Amino acid sequence: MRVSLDWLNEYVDISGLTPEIIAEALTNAGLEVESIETVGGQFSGVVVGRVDVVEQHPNADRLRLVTVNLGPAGQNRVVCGAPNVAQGMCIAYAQIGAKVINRKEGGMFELKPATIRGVESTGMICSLEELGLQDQYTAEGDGIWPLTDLVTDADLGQDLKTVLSLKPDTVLEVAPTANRGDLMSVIGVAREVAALFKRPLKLPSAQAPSPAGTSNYQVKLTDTSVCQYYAGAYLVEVQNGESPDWMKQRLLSAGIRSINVVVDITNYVMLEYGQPLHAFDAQKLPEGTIGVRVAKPGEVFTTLDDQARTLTEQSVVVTHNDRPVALAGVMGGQDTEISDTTKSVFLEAAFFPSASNRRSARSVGLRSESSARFERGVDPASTHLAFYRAIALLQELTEASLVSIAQDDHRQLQTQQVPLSSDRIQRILGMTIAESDVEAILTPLGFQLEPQSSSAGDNRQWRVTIPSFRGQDVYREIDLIEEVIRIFGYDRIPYTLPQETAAPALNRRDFLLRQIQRLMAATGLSEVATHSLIGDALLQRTGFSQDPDSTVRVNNSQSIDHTFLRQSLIPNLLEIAKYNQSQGNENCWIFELGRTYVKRRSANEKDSGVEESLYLGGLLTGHPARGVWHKAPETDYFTVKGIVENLLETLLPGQSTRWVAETSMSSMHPGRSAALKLGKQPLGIVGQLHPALQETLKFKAPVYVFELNVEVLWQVLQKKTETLAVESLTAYPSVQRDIAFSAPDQVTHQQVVSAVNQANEPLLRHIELFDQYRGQQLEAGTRSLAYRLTLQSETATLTDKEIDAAMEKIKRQLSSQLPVSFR
Amino acid sequence: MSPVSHDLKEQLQSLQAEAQAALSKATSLKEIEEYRVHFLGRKGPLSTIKRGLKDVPDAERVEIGSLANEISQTIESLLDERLTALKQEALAVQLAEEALDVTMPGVYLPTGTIHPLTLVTQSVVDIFRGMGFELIEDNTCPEVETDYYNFEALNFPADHPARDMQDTFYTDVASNVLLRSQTSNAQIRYMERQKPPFRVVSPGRVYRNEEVSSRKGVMFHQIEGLLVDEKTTFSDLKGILHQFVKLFFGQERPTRFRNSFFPFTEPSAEVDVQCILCNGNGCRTCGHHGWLEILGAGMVDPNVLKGVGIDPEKYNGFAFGMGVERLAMLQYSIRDLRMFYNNDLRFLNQFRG
Repeated sequence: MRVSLDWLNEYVDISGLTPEIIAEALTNAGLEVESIETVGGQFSGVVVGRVDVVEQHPNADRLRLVTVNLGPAGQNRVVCGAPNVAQGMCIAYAQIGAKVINRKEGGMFELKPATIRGVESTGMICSLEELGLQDQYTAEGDGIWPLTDLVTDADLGQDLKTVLSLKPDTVLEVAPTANRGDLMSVIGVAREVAALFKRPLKLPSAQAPSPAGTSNYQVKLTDTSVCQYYAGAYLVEVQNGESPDWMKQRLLSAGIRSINVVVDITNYVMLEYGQPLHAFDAQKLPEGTIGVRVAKPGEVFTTLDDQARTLTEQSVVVTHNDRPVALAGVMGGQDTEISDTTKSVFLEAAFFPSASNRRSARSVGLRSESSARFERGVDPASTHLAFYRAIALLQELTEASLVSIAQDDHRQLQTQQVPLSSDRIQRILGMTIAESDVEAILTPLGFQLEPQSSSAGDNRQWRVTIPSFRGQDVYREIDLIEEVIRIFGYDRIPYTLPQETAAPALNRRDFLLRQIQRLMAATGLSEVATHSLIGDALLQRTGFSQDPDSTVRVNNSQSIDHTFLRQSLIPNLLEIAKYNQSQGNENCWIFELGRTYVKRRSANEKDSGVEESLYLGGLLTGHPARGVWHKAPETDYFTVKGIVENLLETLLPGQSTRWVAETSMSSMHPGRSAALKLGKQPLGIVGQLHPALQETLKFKAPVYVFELNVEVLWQVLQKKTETLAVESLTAYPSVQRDIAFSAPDQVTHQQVVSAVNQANEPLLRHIELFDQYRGQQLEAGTRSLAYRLTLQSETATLTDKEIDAAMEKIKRQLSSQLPVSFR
Repeated sequence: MSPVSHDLKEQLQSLQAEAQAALSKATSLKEIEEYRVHFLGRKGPLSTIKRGLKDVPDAERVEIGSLANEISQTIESLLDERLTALKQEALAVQLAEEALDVTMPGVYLPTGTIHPLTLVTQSVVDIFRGMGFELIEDNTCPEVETDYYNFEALNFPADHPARDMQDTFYTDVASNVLLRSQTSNAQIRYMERQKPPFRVVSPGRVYRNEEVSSRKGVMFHQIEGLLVDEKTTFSDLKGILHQFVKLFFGQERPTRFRNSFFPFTEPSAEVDVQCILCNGNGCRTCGHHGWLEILGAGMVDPNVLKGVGIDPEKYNGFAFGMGVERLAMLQYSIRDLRMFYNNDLRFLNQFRG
């Protein structure tokens, strides 16, 4: 909301206070001042002139020599570069010595005689920006400001401010918090300023008017959930027309366009009190019954802005003999709109509760100055004050006479009383605030304090009566404490530290996550952060899909790129790798630790039914190694598998994971992908992106990806309770023996290791694959594998006999399980 | 001297001269070994001379014998000397051949980097851990949340504007299921499980239905903090946050507490830190105010405590929440929020160490 300091000064004397001081105090007390603007012209020495002659500048194509007629003050010649300067145009002429705004650098400058390209220029023709009036007036196109419709020849040579009745003013743009409907008014802001600077608040008088006659207007409220109070004043002999300058200025400073005096009065009083009002043309709203009801679905209503709006059961309308005449508290109707020739007025002042008003405004997608106030909540107890004030202004400014007032009142106004004690203030804030300060703060805000006789010792207790305009946000002792401290000043509260620190519990899961991040980085992968909310386009671009039934979709996204929650990190990682390739970062090794989301159960009040699991996703394409002049490594399937193996062996030493060829995923290379299992639980996948997809996505090198379910790792680690007990190191030497055999390709390495382990040979310490051979000496479809076995005893040096026996046992086990032929 | 002795003596002396001449020409280890056999071997001239000693008269045998030994040792040491010299020559050649341009690049796999949002989150969490705050386990704080935990239990009135479709993402799961708009749901979920006193922090992703810009996105990260105890005061909140600012920004920085409004705290505050770029003089980053808003905070509203079964007459507490992107932008002078999610490696690789 925009608050004019000139207007504010009417209710609280702000002399001696700079706009900056007021702004800082309001901001600290909870009313954030977003900007401070100067309006109404800071300039001086500018008069009205008329362009009599326009000639070409002899030395510059783009400049003109303009002879300005200043009426009784004669003529002056200026050099002017504006493209729109034309003979006969009335303009704002800055004389030598005038102060206007420097458009390039901001700030004011004083105009001095100048010689421009050899021609003397005495003065300047101004643009709106040079006068700082661009918020109040509009001019078409670039260049100087044509005054033609605003002045007459009689004004030539007269001071521009006087002619246009301009008055310099400062406007604060304030942003009240959602709970402070009372600050949507100049009086509300004035009350804050009065309390903050301990200056008296002066309110306008609002006397109950005396209607001169009677009428057949009636108000009947039937649904109090949409309207609790409605008052209508019937005024006749209205002389509508332009508003007085002071009113126009104030509306302008608040950012509201002046329409005509009747409409302006309703807006003026709304800004002043925060109570929206509406005026109907009574000729178009003849005597009858006024009501407020919920709209019928499909009912069409044309608002003041010429929009035909289809209403819903959420919309609330003011009716005249049951016909909608206004969207209640949002906007009036076109049919009953006030015109310049309006002779009689039906003035509405009503209390529309915030919840139904908000739904109503939303139902037609419309927000107005009026609905912004009802939505936050207006003071139900002071509707009549604004009503009386508007009637008085109509009588004064349009010479209207009040015929009658019709109203229906279902408000249940209760005065709330809340206890407050100095002990409690101390307990919450951690500091003592003197009784006198408490009273000096709360009283100007409208609270009435009654000290209680039962107050014991230093604990002063009060009974505090809450003013109606604060009934919505202050109804408990804690709310009063906030009132005290926000005016007293948060900056006056000391800094202390809470006592009795207990050692915080360790978070083992966080250790795991940090360990994963560090390991991945140590292995050469960089962490990325990508969106959890994705869209169909991403899946299409990256050749992935996800199960529609278990996908969590958002209903109201503004962007097609963010319509549902991901179930895999890989599409995002592909997108990031593609982006990096396009930026010249072709060696891309990245990982992300992020959630996936799957609908699992039906939702209830406290459970969304959605399972969120943390996944570790990784992508490798190219190779980031340094020193490639020496040896240029390539990333292949075993690079990515090795990274995953190293991770798992570090996190879960001794736990064996199973790798199963994964041939069925359409986005993955059918011969170079594996599914991983930990016990019976699926742990994730590792493999090469399908070459066809690689080509579609225009990746220059093969792409390898992996994705592991961190929750599965966590389940295992969570159960682990024992700490590591270090094994003593064997003093006896180990021996190594090699075995080599040929076997059909179907025999996997994992099967070989498993068979060797099943020999249960106690001397076997380690088995390492050291060679694979395919070639002419072997049958097609077979390969030769060579393993180095390490044998060791903890109690003695091994003899050849023991070694041979062990090897024999292992070979027998291998032959019995697998079709191998030893060489 | 007998003619036999004289002859042997001459032979011995010429043998030494012959060995000296031969070895000086030897260029390989193999040649040296051949000479060793030639001169000193059993069939060599020295052995022949030693065998001829029996013909030398007794009185001269000792002299000739010791001369033979002397010459034998001399040849032996000549052989060794030459051998050492040749080895050194060979080593010198090897070293010369092995010389490298030691300035050429080493071979390594560069360490990857941790994302700046993770770095900032972990640094904030660690600061609070140092002040006794426990990190709530991330898997107890869902992002897909019910209206109850995101709004109702946090004292949002039924018709609060924040519940509007414009601000919050609602889902097709059920009408009350949404994407959390703040990490404050962690407060409620934690308090439902634990009895006070406690101090906790909880970072995570949150979602707002907003137009994407350089300062706002539909998703961002927050860190929530909560302390509940018997005698907690607003001055404790100020003290804790003041310490945080000092530790996070690495130096004492003026902070400003302003009154504000959040449904789940009362009194509420927004906390500004003096602009780290212009030291409060006013610049574009701080909108010429000299202050940067970094977090929201306040005393936990009694209604929130009541809702989770904690007696607000006995206990009270404070809560705070801060935006990770905002802190990271200030910490690393990042001007556009979208940098975090573009994940350009040239950006990410700057976060080493």
